[in-house]
Amino acid sequence: MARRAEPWAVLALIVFSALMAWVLERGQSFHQPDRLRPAFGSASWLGYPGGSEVLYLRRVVSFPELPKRAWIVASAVDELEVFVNGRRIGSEQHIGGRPMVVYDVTRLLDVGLNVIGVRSKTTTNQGPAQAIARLEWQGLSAKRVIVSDREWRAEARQRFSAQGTVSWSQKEYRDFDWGPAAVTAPGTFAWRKFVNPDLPLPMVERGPVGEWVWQPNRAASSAGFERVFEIEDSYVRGAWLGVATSGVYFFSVNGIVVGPVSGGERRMGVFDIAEYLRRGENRVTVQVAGNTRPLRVAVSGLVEAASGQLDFSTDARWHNLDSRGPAVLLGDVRHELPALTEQNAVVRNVWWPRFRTKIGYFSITLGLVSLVGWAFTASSFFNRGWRDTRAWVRYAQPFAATSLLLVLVQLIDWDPRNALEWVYPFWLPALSFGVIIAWLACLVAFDYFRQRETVGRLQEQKS
Amino acid sequence: VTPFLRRTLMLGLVLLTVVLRLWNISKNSITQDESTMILFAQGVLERGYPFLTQQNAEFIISTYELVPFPIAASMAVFGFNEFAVRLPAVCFAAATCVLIFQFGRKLFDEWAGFLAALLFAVLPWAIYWGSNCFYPSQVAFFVLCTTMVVHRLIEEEKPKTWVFYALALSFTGSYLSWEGTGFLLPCFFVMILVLRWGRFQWMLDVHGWIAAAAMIFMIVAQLTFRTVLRDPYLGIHVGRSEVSFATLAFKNVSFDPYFYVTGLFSEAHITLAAVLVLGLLLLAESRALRFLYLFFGLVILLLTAFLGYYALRYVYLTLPTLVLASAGVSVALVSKLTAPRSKTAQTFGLAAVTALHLTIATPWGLTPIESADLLMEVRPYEMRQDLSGFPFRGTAQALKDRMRKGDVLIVQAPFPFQVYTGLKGDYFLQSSLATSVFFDHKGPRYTDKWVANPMLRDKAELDDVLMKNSRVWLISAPDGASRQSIGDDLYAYFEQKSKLVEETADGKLFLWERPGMAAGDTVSQ
Repeated sequence: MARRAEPWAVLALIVFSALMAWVLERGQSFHQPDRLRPAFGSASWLGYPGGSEVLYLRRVVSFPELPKRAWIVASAVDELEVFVNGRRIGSEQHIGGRPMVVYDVTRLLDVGLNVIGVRSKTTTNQGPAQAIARLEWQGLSAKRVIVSDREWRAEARQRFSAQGTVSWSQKEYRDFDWGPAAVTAPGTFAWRKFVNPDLPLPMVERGPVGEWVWQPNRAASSAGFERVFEIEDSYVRGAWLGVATSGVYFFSVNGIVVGPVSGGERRMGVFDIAEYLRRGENRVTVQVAGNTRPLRVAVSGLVEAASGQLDFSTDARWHNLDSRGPAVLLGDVRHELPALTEQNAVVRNVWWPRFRTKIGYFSITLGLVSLVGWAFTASSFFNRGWRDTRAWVRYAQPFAATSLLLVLVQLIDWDPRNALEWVYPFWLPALSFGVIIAWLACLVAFDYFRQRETVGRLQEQKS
Repeated sequence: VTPFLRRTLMLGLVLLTVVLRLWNISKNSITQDESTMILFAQGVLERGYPFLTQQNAEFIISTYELVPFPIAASMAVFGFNEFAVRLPAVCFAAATCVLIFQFGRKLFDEWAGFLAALLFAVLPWAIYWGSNCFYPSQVAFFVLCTTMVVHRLIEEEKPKTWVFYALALSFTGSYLSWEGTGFLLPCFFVMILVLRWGRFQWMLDVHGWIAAAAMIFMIVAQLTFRTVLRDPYLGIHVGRSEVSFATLAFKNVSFDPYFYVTGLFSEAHITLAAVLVLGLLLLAESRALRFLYLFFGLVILLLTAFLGYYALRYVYLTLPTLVLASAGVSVALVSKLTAPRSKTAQTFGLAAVTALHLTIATPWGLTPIESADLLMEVRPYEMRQDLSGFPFRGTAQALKDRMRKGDVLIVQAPFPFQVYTGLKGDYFLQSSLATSVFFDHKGPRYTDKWVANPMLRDKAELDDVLMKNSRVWLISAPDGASRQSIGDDLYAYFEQKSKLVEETADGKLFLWERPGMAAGDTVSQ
């Protein structure tokens, strides 16, 4: 390569390759090309007529029966809170963006009148407060969708009635002096600002499924269960695990331990496990312990893969870790229908999952590419100092170009993995190496031909 | 560069600085800190020195002593409005921009000076403080003056007499704008020692000693005055505003060694940070860079380790140094990469570097942090241009429109309220010790720390006030912080009893009315 061997640079290139291979090996996980984002369908963005900093939206709906499944998807500018029948079921804020939420409200809706309330406030200069919502209700035989539209009533400040004892979001409140909401549009480039909800819509739509399981000894205070399944697809769009139990539990996916988490039989904590799965065999274990007896546990597992959904919820294919026999099935979880709730817990024993996110990959690759570029530079600098900058400029060129390319990709928020799924997860190093090697090859070829030309010219002169 | 072109460039930069700061100068309400300065400035207009009145007693300023004077001068000309009170900050920003240009020229070359001043003109953080009448804009100007004088002291073989007095004068300006700049003295001492190593004759200069004595006298006098006046003899709870002296902050549980580093190098400052890292390679050969890096490093170190509280604005005074170092490194790197090739390549390189900086370091440029899906991180509000600010103005205006004679006011942030309405309020509601309170032995009662309004501590005291009056207002702005200090229970209690008259994003105006009572009636006691 060029005129003088650069031991530093060669060493750095080898280290870079080894590091990259190691990171890829450790971090090999499924790519999620496009995060599943709930759609609002025909729902409209709503605001207070004339605009306001705070927005209260209220919709009274009537249902003939208790729902089989019901959920709300909502979003707003900057901040939002969602209420059902006077109960605040959650809030999310994302200053400068569009927080998006999904809530399982199956157990919160009544037969007859129900009130859905949304409060939103804007703390940025993105215009007045605006919100959008969609409620899906599935009865035994019918299905209804309530979307935010002009039917919703709007107010610009908090309201009470009955000497402050009845709040605006309660059923008893009469909104006769509230006007209809105005249909608005929250500005351009909103798509960049949406933040995915914590609770995944596919899980909420499907609801908790699976069997309650325990080990043969029903009085046991602890038990562990395992399920092994194969994924043949090249990518997944999402994967989640929901756990309901009255004990405290840990779970692990391919050796990555999450927990401890305090469980509940009436609620199913949902975790995003997509980044821990891999192509081929996957192993999921759940370990539960508790004092209340008899204990039991139900797991709802769902993988949204390229070829369709894969269900790994608790059933006869789960087996007990102690007896190595199949888990004892205790009844369908759908009979009791625990509410799905978003859950977070500490991921133990591993540091690398966090590097497998998009930003992590970019940072590592960018950092390593830049590092090697600088190794070339430093090597040349220590050899020649500032007097002759040509050599190091040449050697650093491909690395600088690759770094700039990666920075550009990052800045414009374009994820090439979407277009290069078939080479994932190798696209990033492949792209980097491709650019670098091609460039270096060009340099070498250029030097070679120039040298040949010079030699030829010298020979001509000699002759 | 011809003198004409230089002057034109400088004029253009100043114009850009001023226009960007004036653009939305009145858009946001004044902040709590700004309102304090405005009230002191009103004191200057009234009696010639900065003071404010607390319960008929005079409270003389004991920190930011020089800040109210330019505000008062502006108010004398333009009256009270957001533009008038913030105009001095704009002027200081423009003057800082000129100094950066000159200092950059001196340290590096014309292009570095231009790039540094341009960066200062467009950086969102600089725009925020350049249109805010609290101290940072003023202190950044004085600190830059002081830094330039120190640089001269280091570089001159035998420093001239006036340099020592100029140092004392500019440091006094800095110190009386914010006493936290007292940390600059040890910092400058170390810098002079390190960068003039072996040339110690400056220590024997009698004028140096006189200047040092003047500075130390000023510091001791100010600290004594502040300590005597501010010591919370009868106060409960100590907060940020009670800090008077350096402490061993690294022994506190709240010690955060990365606070300033992460804050300074987030948002639009990412390219500055990257360039500064590259600049480490050039330290060996550039004395100017060693000067700037040493200053920056020492200030961050001292403020992190010895100042008991953290706030990003404390290090705003390093921004001119930061942009100077960044511009110097950028220009040096371009020169290295293109030299000794054609001038065209160099000009192209400089233009590319300037464009790269401008692409990131402007409020309207690319926002890498947003693009990188890291929006959930807490982003420093001072560096954001999209926030709508505090709710004081709207809430105060709503109250003014609806108030009647005899109404009682419970005010949670009295200073901004006083600035916008001229009223101080009657009570302060707090069931916790979120902010410090003082014991008034004449009452006897506890009072708030701002205007000495009596504090209502629980439902019984609140009910007592409600029983004796016909209409009681609660100005809960900012609502989040007010709710925290009032306490959830007491807040909900008043919320249920009263009517919400006005609500903004972070401000609520509640009115409690005694049923069947005419306005102005008072219940006999």
